[in-house]
Amino acid sequence: MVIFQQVGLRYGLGPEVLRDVSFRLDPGSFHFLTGASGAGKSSLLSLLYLARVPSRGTVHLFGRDVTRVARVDLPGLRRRIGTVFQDFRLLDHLSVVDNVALPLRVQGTDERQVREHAAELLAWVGLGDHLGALPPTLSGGQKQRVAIARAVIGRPQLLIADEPTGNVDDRIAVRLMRLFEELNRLGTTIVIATHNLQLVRESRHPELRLDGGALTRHAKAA
Amino acid sequence: MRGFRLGLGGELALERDRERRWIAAVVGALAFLATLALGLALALAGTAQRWQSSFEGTLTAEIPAGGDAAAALRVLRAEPGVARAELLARAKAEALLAPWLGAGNLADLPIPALIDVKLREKVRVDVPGLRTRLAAAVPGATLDDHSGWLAGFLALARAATIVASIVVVAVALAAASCVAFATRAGLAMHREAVDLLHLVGAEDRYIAGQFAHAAMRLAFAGASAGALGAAAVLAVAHSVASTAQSLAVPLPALGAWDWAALAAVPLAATVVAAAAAYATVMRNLGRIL
Repeated sequence: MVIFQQVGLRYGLGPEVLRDVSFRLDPGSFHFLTGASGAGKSSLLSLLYLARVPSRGTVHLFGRDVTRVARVDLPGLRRRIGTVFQDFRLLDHLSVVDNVALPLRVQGTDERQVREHAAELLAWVGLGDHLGALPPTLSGGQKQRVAIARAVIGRPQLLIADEPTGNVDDRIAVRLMRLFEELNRLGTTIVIATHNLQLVRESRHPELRLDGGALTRHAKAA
Repeated sequence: MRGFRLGLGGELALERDRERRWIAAVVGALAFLATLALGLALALAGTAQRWQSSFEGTLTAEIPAGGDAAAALRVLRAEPGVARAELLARAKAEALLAPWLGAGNLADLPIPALIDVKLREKVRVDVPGLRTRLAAAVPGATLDDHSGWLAGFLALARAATIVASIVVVAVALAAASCVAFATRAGLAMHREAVDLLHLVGAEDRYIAGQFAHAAMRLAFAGASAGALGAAAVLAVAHSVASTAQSLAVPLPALGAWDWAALAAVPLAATVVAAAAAYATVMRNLGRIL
């Protein structure tokens, strides 16, 4: 599903923020990505959700080397990935249901199906009565759930979440983790970046730990 | 269904950008200029064509006052290519001169006699030879095939068409540049939303389509207003000129097809704007991941 081999990443001419990162994630696995602030978690995730390409090394996603993939093939790969961004990245001028519908709309899915699925998913995350609300009127936890609904509406094979519990209270955090567990049981490969070590300890899932841009703990070597 | 409120501009909601509305104003002004230039050129070209058709196959013989018009008629009618040669009544000749000399001043003037000659179709006439024979029969008589001044007018019409074509091309380039500039600014302004669309799997053409659609609507609104304004100016100018007309020549005027061509200006401006926006987005997105 995901294979990183000797991956390095630097921004411009700056120092490497990721160094010699190698790991493999099997289909249907669930991993936490941990590390202190500035350890490189968000940079690694940006490689996973194809916002960047590594400065060196190779990244294989779904059997393809993304460092060599043609630009026109990127949308197809990105549609197999769902991402919950740390800052949600909801479009404030669109209603909640339009935000959730975004991944299906860009694929040209039939509008009736788009509407049905978006409404169903919002009901699933407990926001069935907020379809027409605009994001600025929602709480942090509600935004988080909208972002999750948007990430999963395209039935991605790989779900990436960056600090999904960082902006919510413990009760909501537990509820969100149950959502991720449920998705994982349905076969979705999940990677969650978090600095919440208690969350990791309470979970049975393996941990990828970054320290100063290098991977210091991982479940399986590439 | 409840909650869905996606606007015409798609997820980027480009229709909400106040900064982009000047596209309509600029394209409108450019469409006004293009329509005006095209209208004038079409009117001149159409008039030149009408004049050319109306004078084709005709000659005018001018007999000096006191000259033997009957002899001139005999010479002309003897020519096989001449279908008809008629002496213009003095009253008609006076009517032609009245606008220049004043209606009451012609009675005592030695007005030359005019003979209107209609040629047979598909029969070649040796105009220089006929001119020589006419001058021999009636000293001082001339034969005009109108080619001299018609050539000047046709050249003017051709020049106007060339100038109008250059203006239209320049205006189209200016409109495309203006839309491209606004589109680049829009891309920068909506960079985060564009990035998000990419990350959820949007193809470049999906994003480019939203910019093209927004530019198309603004350009159509602006260009329609501009073209309507120019059409109104052309109509008013023709109306004023018709009212004040005292010349014996027809005024340049637009025909139905000319108006149809002018109506195509907003459509062309819309296509140019949409294509410029689409190409700009595709080119710029190609530079990012």
